[in-house]
Parts: sequence; C-alpha cells; structure tokens
Amino acid sequence: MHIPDGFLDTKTWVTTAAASAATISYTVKKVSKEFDEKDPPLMGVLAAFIFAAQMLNFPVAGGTSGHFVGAALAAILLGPWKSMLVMLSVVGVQALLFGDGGITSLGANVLNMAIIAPFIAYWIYEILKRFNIYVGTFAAGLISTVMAATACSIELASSGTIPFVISAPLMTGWHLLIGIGEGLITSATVSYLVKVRPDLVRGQASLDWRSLLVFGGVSAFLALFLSPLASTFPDGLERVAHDLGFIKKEANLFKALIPDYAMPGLRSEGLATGLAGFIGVLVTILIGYGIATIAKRRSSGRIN
Amino acid sequence: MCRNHARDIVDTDKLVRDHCDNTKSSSDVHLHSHRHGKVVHKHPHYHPPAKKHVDAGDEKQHQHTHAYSFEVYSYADSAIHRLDARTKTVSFVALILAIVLTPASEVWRFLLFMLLIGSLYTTSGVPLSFGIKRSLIIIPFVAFAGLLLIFMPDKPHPSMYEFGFASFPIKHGGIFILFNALIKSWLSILTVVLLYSTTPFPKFIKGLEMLRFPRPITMLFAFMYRFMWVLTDEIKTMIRARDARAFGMKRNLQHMRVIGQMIGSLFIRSYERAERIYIAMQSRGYSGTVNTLDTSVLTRQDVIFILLFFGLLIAILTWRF
Repeated sequence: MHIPDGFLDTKTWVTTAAASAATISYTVKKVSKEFDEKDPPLMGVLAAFIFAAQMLNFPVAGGTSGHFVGAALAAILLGPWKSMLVMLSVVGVQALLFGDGGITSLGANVLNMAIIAPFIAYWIYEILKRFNIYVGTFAAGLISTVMAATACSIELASSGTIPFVISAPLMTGWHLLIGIGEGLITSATVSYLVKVRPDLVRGQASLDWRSLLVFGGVSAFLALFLSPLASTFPDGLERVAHDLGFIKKEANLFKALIPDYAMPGLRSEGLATGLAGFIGVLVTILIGYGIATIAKRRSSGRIN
Repeated sequence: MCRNHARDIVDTDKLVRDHCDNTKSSSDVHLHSHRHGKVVHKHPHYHPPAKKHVDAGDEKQHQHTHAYSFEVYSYADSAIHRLDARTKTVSFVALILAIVLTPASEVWRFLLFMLLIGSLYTTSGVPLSFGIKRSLIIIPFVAFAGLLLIFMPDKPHPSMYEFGFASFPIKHGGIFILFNALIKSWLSILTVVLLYSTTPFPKFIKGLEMLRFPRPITMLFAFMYRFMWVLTDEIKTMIRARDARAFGMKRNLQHMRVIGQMIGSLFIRSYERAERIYIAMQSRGYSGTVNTLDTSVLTRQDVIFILLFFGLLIAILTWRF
C-alpha cells in the first residue's frame, strides 16, 4: 500500500500532498499548543514502537501473510491528533530511510495511512465503544485498514493508472482479510492493556467534534477537487466495464445511488460531479452524527 | 507493506535462517547496538564510523523485516558524502521531480537520467548493485499494478494473448502505463537509495530542519530513528521467545491473541522507556527543544555541485534532437 513514485499523475500527487500538508500543519499547530515538553520523546518512542510492531506477521488467506499496521491502535491509545503525527513519522521515515513509498507520492501515502486511517479508526472507536469496547477496537482496525486501501485505489484511479472498478474490489477485498487480522490484534492488544495497565488506555473521552469537522473538511476538499479532475475518466471506465462484461452490476448500482455522479440541472459536468461527491460526504457525516447522537442518548445512563 | 512472504505453519526454517543471519552479520548487529544506545554516548549525535567494506551477505534480509544493514554506506567517505545534507536533499528531490514530470514517451531522457544516476553512484562509491538490491522494495506494488495493467483491455476488440488453454486480452495502453510507472518508480527509488546511502540520517534531519521543515516533525523523526532499532531488537527477542515456546502452534485466533499481548507488552515497555528517556533528558537540561553543536555551512563544493547538477537537470529536461 506504500505507493512508489511514478504511479500517481501530477494532479493527484499535488492535490494529495496539499491536503496532507494542510492537515498536518493544522495538527502540528494544534498539538504544539497542548505540547507538554514530555510529548516529543513520548511520541517519537511510540512511533518507533509502531515501527517495531509492524515486524509482526500474521497469516492471511492462501499462504501469504500481512503485517500489523498500527494506525488504529495508535488512534485508540493516543487520540486522533497525536496518532496522526506518530503515523506521519512512521510513514515518513519509511519513505526517506527505506524508500518504502515514493517522495512525490509521500502526500498520498501520508493521507491514506497517517490521516484517513487514524481518523476513521478514532471516530469508529469513539462511537462503538459505548456499546462494547472490543467491538469498537475490532471495527476500528478493520474499517481503517479497508478505508486506507480504498483511498489508495481512488488515487490510482484518479491518476488513470488503474481503473477504480478493477483495483477497488481487489484492494478492498484483500485488505478486508488483512483488516480482520488487524482488528483482532488491536482488540487483543487493548484487552491486554486494560488488564495490565488500564491507566495507559485513554479514559472516557467524549467525541472530539472539531476533529470530525477537520476530517469532513479534508474529505470534502478531496471530493470537490479530485472528482472533477477525474470526471473525464468514467467514460473510459464504463467502456472497459462493458468490454469485460463482469461489472455491469456494479455500474448499475452506482447509477442507482446518484445517476452518473452528476446533479441534474447543472451545466458543467465537472462542477456537478464535485457537488455530488461533496453531498455524498455530507450525507455520510450526517449519518455518522445521527448514529453518534442515538448512541449517546441510549448509553448516557450506563457509562461506567 | 510487503505481505508476499509465505510462511509455513511451523517455521523451523525461519528459526534456522534467523540464527545463520545473526552469526553472519554479528559484526553489523554489534555496530548497531553501539550506534543505538546500549553504550553511553558523549554526544547525542555521536556515531562511530561505519565499516566501509561489509560482506555482501549482510545485505541479505528477510522480506518481511527491515534490514539492519540498509545504511552500511551512509558513513563512508566520498565527494558526495562530504556535501552538505541540504545540498543533497534539494538536488535529489529535484531529480525525482524531474523524473516524475518527464513524459514516458521520451525514452531517451530516461536514459540520460540513468546515466546521471549511474555517474552519481560511481562518484559516491556506493555500488550500483546495492542500489538495485535495495530498489527491489517496490516489487510488491509493481507486481500488483503490473498484473492488473497487462491484462486490461481498452479497445473494443482487444488483442489476445493465447496460453494454450486460456487467452488473455492485452491492453497496449496498459503496457505503456506500466512502463511509465515502472521506469519512474525505479529511477526514483535509486535516487532515494543514493540519498540515504550518502547522508547519515541524523544529518539529513538536521538538514531538513535548516530547510525550515517544522521543528516538531523533525524532532519526532529524530526520536523515532534513535529508538526504532532498540525496539525492533526487543520485538525480535519476543518473536524468538514465542517461536521457541509455541513450537508448532496453530495459526488461529489464539495466535492473534498472542500477537496482541506481544504488542501490548511492547507498548508498555516503550511507554516506560519514554518516561525514563524524558527524565534522563530533563536532568541533562532538556526543556522542549533539542540543541546540538552540530552546525554545517554550505561550502564552495556545495555551490559548485548545485550549479552543475541543476545545469545538467535543465539540460536533460529541455534538450531536443
């Protein structure tokens, strides 16, 4: 999932780099304000910890193995902001010191593994831990891995390297298997820590709405700017789908949700596609908000 | 993330291999333990000079681990090693940008880039074979993309490749896209390998800092670099202990729980180590920022190198037949 140089075209790597740089600089500012002088060594050592934990392999289907990623664990133990910086330094050092992931694609890799993955993991954990902490940790590990992989295939598709309909099922399916392992290990780690050092697992922190807003902002930015740029793509994509003949179902499904990804009554196709993407993000956030509110009401009486 | 390493249920092979590798590269591991904290240093950025000639066998590594010996050449000496970290960072990142921005149809420009990279390797004394070996890290991704791209049609009547019993459509556009990605990623990774093989990482971080990279991030990088091998050693010890005790263990849910406990205990150890580090640093006058006596200035060599390098880059990018 570390994208090397050359796999992304200029518009994609510039856009993702800008999005990552904006998010990271906001994070640095926010964290620096709350920075304890104790924090830099702690976060640095924990980045090294994530790096070392990635040495652990677990078997995935077919005799292959995946390794632990740790974005969800970092998000659960450190919260969204610090975990983003920790994952940033893991991804950054891997790119600069091992060549694992390219220099121009660093922005995309940071976006997938150091921004999207911890953010989604944190959000899901915060919502689901009200029901059950282990359901939350498992879902956080699973869904963050899958979402990072999906973001990766979106970037490849927007670059025109690999069409989304081809890469997404493979990437997502494969990372679904890896994500199950990630989720199980994250759950096991948290349950061990709850038993041994409960003080290290963060307490009953409430949902951080500002983090949610920033996450929504980044997604909206990507939807607005990336999807219009990719809007010339679906034509070629649909033809490939028809040529191959095995993706008709998916194409119909997408059409049913938002017809052709375009809003009726708008002339400019690029603008319409961007708006459709933006509305999609908005709807997703609203659904999440709804679930969170219901969860809060239902469990307000029985928080331990 | 390479997950191409198929493992047996009982991985005795790996145990033996681990052992062999350890004996083979014991000098290197020793060097490392020196470099990363088991010995008290006078200076936080003190590094003993690395050996120049290391067995080729040391470069051997497991696919799923990161080698100790990836930076064997970082501490060597050459005209390029002596350049300021900033010079090298700016030049090599510019080279990668130039490579990525060149259209794939102009193959001869890539040949010129190859020549430039080859001559840089020769000047720096880093063997090209080392660069090529280290560049294999991109293979999992390239294989994934390559398989998809080769067998992807884009014409209404795609040409087919026949393999006796099966036929696959071949997309000419796909092969072109693959060539584009492959040549660019390969030349770029060769450049990255050259950068880290000629610049010790602490100096590189210092250079980034002087290039106005945000201080909190460079500090994180420095701390991570300082402790990643210490913690890697620790997790390797734990892996060895697990493999020795759980000989023949089924890889099932129980196994996941064991991995979770290993990570949990590594987390506690890391956390407590971080607390000790903080106390130790505080008692030595740390107050939120790290200050070093390590200053570097741009010399005449740096200016000449930058002028020459950027001149060459512009020539390669603009030259037409």
